[in-house]
Amino acid sequence: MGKGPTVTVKTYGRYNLRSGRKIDKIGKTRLYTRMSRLHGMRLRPLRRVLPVLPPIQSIGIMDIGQGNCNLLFDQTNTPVTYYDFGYPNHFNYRSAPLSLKFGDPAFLGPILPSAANGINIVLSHWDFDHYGLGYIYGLDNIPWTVPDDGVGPWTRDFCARLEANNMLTRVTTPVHYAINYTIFRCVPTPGTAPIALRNNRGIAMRIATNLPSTDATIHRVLLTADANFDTVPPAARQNLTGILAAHHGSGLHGAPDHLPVQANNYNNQGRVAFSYGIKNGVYCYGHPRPDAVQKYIDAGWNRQCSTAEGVNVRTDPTQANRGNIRMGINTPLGPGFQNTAFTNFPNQLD
Amino acid sequence: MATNKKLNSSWNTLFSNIEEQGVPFDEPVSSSNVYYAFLANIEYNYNNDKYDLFFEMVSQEWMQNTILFNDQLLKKPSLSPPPKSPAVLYGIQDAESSELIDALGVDKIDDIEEGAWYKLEFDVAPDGENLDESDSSLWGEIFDYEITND
Repeated sequence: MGKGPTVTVKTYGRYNLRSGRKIDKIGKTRLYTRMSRLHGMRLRPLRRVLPVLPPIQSIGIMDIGQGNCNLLFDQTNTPVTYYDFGYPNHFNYRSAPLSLKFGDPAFLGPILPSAANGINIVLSHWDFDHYGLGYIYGLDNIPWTVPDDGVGPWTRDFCARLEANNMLTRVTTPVHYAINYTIFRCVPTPGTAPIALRNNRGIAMRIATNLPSTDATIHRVLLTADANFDTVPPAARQNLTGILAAHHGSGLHGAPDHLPVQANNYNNQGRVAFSYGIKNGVYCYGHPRPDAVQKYIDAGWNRQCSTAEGVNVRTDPTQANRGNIRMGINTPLGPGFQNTAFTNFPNQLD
Repeated sequence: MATNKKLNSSWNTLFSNIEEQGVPFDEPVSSSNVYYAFLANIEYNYNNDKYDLFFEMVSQEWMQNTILFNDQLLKKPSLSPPPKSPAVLYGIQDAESSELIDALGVDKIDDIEEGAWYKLEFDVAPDGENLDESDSSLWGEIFDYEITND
């Protein structure tokens, strides 16, 4: 692999936030429309619901440090779609593994989406720890499917390039069926605090897959990123054998509540992956919360694994067992995907 | 496409007119220390009961001249995305909730809204001087990433 992009931080000085006020949408619509609105294509509902096709063979929950990045592999063990392509924010850079630290001698970099390999990106919501790798690599020439939500001016300029290249598609319908997955637009429950609204109005992904890998029956995995599970319709929460812990295992704003039940015959055998980071032995933001981890256990999600600590969720900040997680069949990747930070999966939820 | 070209031309005219006044127009740092800021992220830190925040900001000067107060040139803004802005990031680490509540004028911390726009005013140390940061937890850094893809 190449050495990757050169990333430096240009600083303009230290500033103290003296005062501020929120600008309401009413009366300032041009601020919200001209500066925040995405103009990309709309994702429209299909006229006919696709049948369940040969399912995704496995899902990679990638170790990027504090953030989220999930990769779907098809029946030929080929990566096809990212659900989030994030990178730790400025304050949590040190939580990234050496293989993803730009400039480090051990840097390998991710499996990069490209026009040649056909990998697309589905983005849960516009937080840097969920789209940062795409931004850093300037991936404006591959398809992005994104929530129909506003963005800030810094992100907006990246989106403008995607729009200019016809690579940006907004999810405007409650449900969208794709070949390998189904997308649900998350709807915050009534009473959600303003501070938590954005996390809960992104898009979730449900994947049909052979999990457990020893069972030929097709089950489903639900990935909601930072959104609570009750932001997706009840029908999306059926027949599940695997989930991604909401909001990196947070305990706030209902993240560990309203957890789905497991599919028939798999009571108390649910697989749950946690994606979070540790820097200098400290859990970033205190994620995951021990009480939240216990709630997943209490709800039957007993097979737990994390990107930062392997199966030792919230008990081993030395990170001796950190690494990518494979949900499903852990077949080694082919020659076209060697020598990357995403090539090997030391952790497995099968 | 013809419409877009026409509107893009309007943006160019706007910038040309402003440049003719001799005012630099792509400076990320505001001369008035006032910014229009989009709250991209606020995260509670269980470790210390404080908050980290990231704003995406554009100077008041750029926003007012380009977006907010230019009705003559930009009749159909919805058809034309704005030009590239001199946006920067502002990050605060370990902000006290009480100070955030006071500064942003909200009743409680949960009322601060991710994905909303704020108008922010800042204090900054004069050139060559250092301000005492001990009396506020809302000191942060204005920065941007410089990325070179080989």
